[in-house]
Amino acid sequence: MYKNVTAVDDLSFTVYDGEIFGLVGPNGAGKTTTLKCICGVALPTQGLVLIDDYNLFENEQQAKKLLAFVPETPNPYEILTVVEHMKFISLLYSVENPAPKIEELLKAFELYDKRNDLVNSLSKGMKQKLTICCALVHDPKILLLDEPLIGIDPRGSRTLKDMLIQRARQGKSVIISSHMLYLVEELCHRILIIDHGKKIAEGSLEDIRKEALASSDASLEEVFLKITEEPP
Amino acid sequence: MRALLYLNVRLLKNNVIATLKNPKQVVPALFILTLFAFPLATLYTLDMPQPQIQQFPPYTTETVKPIIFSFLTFVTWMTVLHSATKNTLVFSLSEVDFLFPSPLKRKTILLNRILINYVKIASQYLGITAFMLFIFSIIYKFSFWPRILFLWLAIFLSMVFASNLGGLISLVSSHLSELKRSRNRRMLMIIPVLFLGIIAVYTYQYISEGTPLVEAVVKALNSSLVRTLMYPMAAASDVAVAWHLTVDAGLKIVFLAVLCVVTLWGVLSVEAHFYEASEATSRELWESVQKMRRQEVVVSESFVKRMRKITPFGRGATVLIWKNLVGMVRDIRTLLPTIFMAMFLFVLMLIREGEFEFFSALFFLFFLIFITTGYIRWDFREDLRRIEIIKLIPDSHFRIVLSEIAVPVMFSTGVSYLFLAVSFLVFPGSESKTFLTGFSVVALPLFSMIMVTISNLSTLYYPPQTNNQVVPGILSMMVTMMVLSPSLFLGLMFFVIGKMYIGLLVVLGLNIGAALVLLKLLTRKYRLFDLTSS
Repeated sequence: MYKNVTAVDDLSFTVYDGEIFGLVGPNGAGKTTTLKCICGVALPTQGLVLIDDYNLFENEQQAKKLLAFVPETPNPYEILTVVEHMKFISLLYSVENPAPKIEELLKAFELYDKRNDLVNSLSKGMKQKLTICCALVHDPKILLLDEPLIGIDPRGSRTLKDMLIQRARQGKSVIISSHMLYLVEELCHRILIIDHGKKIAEGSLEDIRKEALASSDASLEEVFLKITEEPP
Repeated sequence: MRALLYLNVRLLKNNVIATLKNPKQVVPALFILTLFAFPLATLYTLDMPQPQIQQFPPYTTETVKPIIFSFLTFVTWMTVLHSATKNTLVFSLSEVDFLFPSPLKRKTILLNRILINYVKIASQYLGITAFMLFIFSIIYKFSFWPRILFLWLAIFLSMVFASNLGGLISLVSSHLSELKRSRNRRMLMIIPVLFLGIIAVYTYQYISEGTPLVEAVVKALNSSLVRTLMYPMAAASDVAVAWHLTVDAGLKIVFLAVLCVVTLWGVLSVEAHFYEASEATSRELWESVQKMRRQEVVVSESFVKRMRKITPFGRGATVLIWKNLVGMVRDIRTLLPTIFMAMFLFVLMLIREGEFEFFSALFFLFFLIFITTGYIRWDFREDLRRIEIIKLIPDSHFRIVLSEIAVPVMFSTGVSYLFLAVSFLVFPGSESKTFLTGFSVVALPLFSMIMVTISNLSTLYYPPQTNNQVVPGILSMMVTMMVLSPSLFLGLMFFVIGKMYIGLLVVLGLNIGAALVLLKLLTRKYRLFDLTSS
């Protein structure tokens, strides 16, 4: 709750190791607020966030070390070069010998040629890629992504998707909040649909289809529209 | 902390390099520096004879102290009042996105922001105090070094105290609604008003005992009750004029340092809603800046409603006059202080009636124009973010520019005409009174137009969204001086040779020419203006 507005209400869910978890809902449903609560930026008036047995509000530093958050709109430091930005994030998360990891990420997201350019000279898509690189540099156990593909070119999108799948295979968790339902359907093992800050449905696509009484070949989009439909 | 140190150093380094690579900032800065350096160097090398110095004795400790005391008190209260409604600890969106979710402690992030503020305060006030003191030390031949240390230390410590106090209020009230914060601000207003009331009562008492006004104000500010009520600022003003280390000055420095530490501890202890409030404020502030940078224009319903034609003045661009007029009247936060200040200055002038001639009163009116055109900014200074809409108005660029600057010109002219009328009635008649009034009727709006046009030119050449405003601020002051100096020179010359009337007519002609040239320049700049390339 913030300034008398209840953004998220009685929401409880678990994300397991090696799982890509999708968070979907209409505009203003409380997706971003949920992600901010998980990464410790917003304080819930009630409730608990446990990250690998660490209570976020009691062991904030330890819990946050395991997390990385990619916001919807990239806002990297404009007056740092790309490589300086990555070094700064490495220092922030106490990454030992970050240079090879930085080089690998910049090459994967086609930013290596721009490594010595100031961030303010990058396009919006490049800034988004840089933000993703920054989130990955300390190899977080849980990666939180808010609309990660907005502004990213097709090659960058493919790279990111492959990386997310690879991370899940390594036993790391990913939480994606997105309106791009095809992306959620393609990547996520389980999905949580929220509306007005409340849980509407949770489970695999199969589970949600059953809950929505939709056909077995219905897409997530069809299921989502049905389940979030306002009663007449 | 290592990461933050790396970040701060890199940001500083890259900012310095980026500024040095920008000729738009470097060339005027060098020009300004050269202009200041030449007279200073001349004064420094000039061996002024001692008797001449004695004719203009420096301000004494007893007169400097109340000036510093009132300045520090004013700044402290402004900071406290501002903090009651606005967050003084504003973070950039980059800090929100990268520092807030990081494993850094909240206290560390907050401390980093506060320390950066301290460094900014320290360097800004070091520059200002060193410059002022250096000039005075050259003119009055006193030793610069020990004095600058005490003066700077006193101002720095009290500014840190004020900033901490502001931060504390801002954090404590950050979870309150806008309405409650606004109410709190009104309640807080009672304290400085009471304080001013006490000073006014003391001053009135001294004046009624026959003390001259300035001396009475000084005595009131030096009175024990006033000093006790704002003791930290009084102690700082004592340190500022200490000139050398005494036990008393040392104890007061320790007292101020303790105050700073205690208030800093207070700020760091209050963490409730810190992230949420900071994020909400930062996002609101920075997103509007980003929109301006990307030339995104917010078309609000109220803006469209304001776009009405003013029939008597024609159509097209005159919608801007209506829009700015409504905006100015609605923006009571700017309008009321400007009117109050004008009235306050005028009353001050009337109190000194005995010493003032009608001729001197006119100088005040020109000063009033200078003040009001600086405060009332309903022209391109306010409309920069809407410039793309304004460019869609199907009218000539010259008419659009004239309509844009009309409201501040009309307002300052109106206020000065009002006081001109009062002055005409209050001051005794003289041979030149009617002619001077006639001259003022034409010269005041002309002067206002020149001032507003220069300010608008500065805004279009150096948009605040993409430029630091220090250089353009000084530059526009200098351009104003350059435009108006010939008039002053000619006016004085004709006055000396006994042909004042011709001189005033020449001055009017010269300023009409200057105003037209400046308007043409503004029109051209507006036509070519592109925020993304500024």
